[in-house]
Amino acid sequence: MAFVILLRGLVRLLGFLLLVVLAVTGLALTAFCIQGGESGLSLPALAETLRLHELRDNVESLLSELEDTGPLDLLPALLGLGLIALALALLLGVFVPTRERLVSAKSGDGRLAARRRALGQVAGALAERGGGVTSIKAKVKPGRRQGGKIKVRADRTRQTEPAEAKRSVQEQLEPLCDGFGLTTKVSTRLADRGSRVQ
Amino acid sequence: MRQRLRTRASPLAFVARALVVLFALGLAWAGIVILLLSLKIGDATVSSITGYRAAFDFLAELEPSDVDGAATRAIVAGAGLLAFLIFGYLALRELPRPYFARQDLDLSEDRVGRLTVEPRAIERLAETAAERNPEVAGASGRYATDELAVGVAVLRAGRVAETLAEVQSAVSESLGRHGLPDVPVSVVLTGYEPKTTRELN
Repeated sequence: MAFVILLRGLVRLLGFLLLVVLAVTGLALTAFCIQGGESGLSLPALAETLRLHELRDNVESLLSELEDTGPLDLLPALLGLGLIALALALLLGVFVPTRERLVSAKSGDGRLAARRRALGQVAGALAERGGGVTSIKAKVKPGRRQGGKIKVRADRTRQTEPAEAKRSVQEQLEPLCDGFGLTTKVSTRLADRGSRVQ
Repeated sequence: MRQRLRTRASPLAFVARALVVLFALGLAWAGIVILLLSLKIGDATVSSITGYRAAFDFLAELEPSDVDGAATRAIVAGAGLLAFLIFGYLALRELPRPYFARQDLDLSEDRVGRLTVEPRAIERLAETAAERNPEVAGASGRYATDELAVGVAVLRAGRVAETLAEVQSAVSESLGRHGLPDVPVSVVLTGYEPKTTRELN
């Protein structure tokens, strides 16, 4: 989590710097459009100041070196991998949330919500009350804005049919699902020998 | 006093994030081009997959004559000015504005003195109101200037959503009863602690 928080900070800093660079570039373009020709405040003069010709030649020679047939270039390959890793890290910093996502029952002027783990424990406790079920594993996945999904895996006794165990678990989870706007996905399997109904 | 530092995020912050995404995609593209070329995949194949040659040739062939006309310069200048205004404004909005989330609540101030309530008192009030509910095993409050968040652990699994709603209204009512401002109250289920032990008489 600390790594994600660090990446988040890096993304914010980079976002700010990119905005500043774009703003300054816009201002420089405006200023260097005042005059025509190739001197003074003209675009060719800006290109000359920024040494874009040299940059073009450097990139050209770099590409030529890379395009040459020959043995594998280790250093550029590592550089390429590094750039890809950096890009992935930045995307991670943008898209991975730093806070735990909660399952919201009601949002607005003060919300009602639940932590995934606590809600999973509650769901497990409720589902275990179902007939013919020996043990339960419940996982909760929050929805984008409200509600979410509960995945339940129930171990059933030999005497209990899968459909029966599934229906029984769903019945037990109904009040929780109504309260939090959850959908359920229940799968069953035969319990290990010696398991007992709770 | 336990203190928390928060920063207000601008609603326009998504623009900066979108720029970072574009930048990251550009980096990944450059990385892939360099990696494939250094692995000697073949420049024609790499160019047909990534289009790097076409992009480079387009930029390398730009000449002063391409942007020499008065109309072209006027368009470029206008676009540059617009970019400066928009991106400059967005950059200003991106500057972090930290503030302390837990501050004393000022109720009144007159010539006699000031009447303030410390955050911990408000949190304790919320915790007490929540713990009065028989289905609540424990509660912890967190007061911020714009919200009162109450974390709640429940004893029974049967009525979780109803218990949270009851706690929310109990805390709001308690705030009103003590003459405190009506801040939004968020209630979060943080734990499930069923009673599994029996008391010996």
